[in-house]
Amino acid sequence: MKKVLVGLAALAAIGAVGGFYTMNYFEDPDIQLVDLVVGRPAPAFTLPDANGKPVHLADFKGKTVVLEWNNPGCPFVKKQYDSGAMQKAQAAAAGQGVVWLTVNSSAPGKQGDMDAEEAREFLADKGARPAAYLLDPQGQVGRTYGARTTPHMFVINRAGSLVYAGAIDDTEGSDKQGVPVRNHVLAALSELKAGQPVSVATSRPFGCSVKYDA
Amino acid sequence: MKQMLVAFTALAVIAAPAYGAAVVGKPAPLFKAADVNGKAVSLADFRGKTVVIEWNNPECPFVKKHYGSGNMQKAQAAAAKDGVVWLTINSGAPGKQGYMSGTEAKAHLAQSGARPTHYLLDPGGVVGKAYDAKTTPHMYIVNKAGTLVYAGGIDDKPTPRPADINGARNHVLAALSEIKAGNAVSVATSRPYGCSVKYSDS
Repeated sequence: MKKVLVGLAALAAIGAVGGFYTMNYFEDPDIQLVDLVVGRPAPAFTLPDANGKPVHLADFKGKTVVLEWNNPGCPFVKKQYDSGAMQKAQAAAAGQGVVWLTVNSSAPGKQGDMDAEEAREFLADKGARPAAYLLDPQGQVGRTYGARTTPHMFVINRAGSLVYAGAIDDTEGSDKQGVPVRNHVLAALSELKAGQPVSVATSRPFGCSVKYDA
Repeated sequence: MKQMLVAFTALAVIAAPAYGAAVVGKPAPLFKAADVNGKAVSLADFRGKTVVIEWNNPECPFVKKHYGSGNMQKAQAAAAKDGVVWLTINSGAPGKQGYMSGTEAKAHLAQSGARPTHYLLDPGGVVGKAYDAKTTPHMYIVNKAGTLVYAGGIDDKPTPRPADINGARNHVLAALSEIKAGNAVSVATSRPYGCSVKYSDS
């Protein structure tokens, strides 16, 4: 019942603010996740990077930030990295002065869990170039953002508001023969760069479930 | 139980912005409107079919972009081929840009080669306000179960330039192809773009 009321309250919030969209998540009864509302301030966090150095989201106020949920063992993530699509997106973002933070919320012993050294190896091996690779083995930041899948992407604007949450692109369940793939993150970044509102502020994330601690 | 219902009602009232707008993931508001021949068309008649709803004002430059290029007609034909019902709605008030009588609307359809299942006249703006239609075009999709599964722009290039159609992601066609494949609609909302709907002032 409480959950239903929370859901209704969320809908009420959408109605009240108009123009803000909530994420259209699928149910995952095992994990308590908070559904963030696009258009609201992105929650602050601090996580260690692959060199053990703490990284604070707050340090990037004034810059656009991309958050990417990552699990190198997930086939959907492999597809992005083996094709070079994710690295290309990271490079494009960096070229625009956008801060790209890759976050790993796999719990110890679960698929994709890495220590700092393994994370550094992954980055070198794939030629991945996020501004930082962050380790979140307890899943705190993942749960705060409602990260469901790997990949699951978020974009935070210069003012610190969440302006996109969802999939990396629109290739879920299709081979997209002859149809151009829309990378929702790159599209959002280019709209932000042009000073326009993000036209697709949410999409259905797809990939492997984030391997949180049970 | 009664208490619960009261709570629900209260929330429902808060949730309804100005006109009880349509919410993606919820049942699409039912409506009846007259077609170009004055015949009443009811959304409920199409239960069991996927329905596209398009807000239209033939004089709006953003609408002209999609009709002058044949882009909208092509989408209508593709939808029809898949058994999808396409309802084009004009919520322009009498005296405002884009308002048409039934006779004028018939002439417009013939002239533009538009092929919606029905062209509906909503001069009072009742249906437009129920759906919170803000722009022309503003696009909605109702699935076979009667649930609203898409609301937003026709595509992701918010300009009046026909040249921008090429390479744009047509959110409506993408959603229809996902629905056809039995998948969930991945982009369920987007920012609509176009001219403001010319509702009556009163």
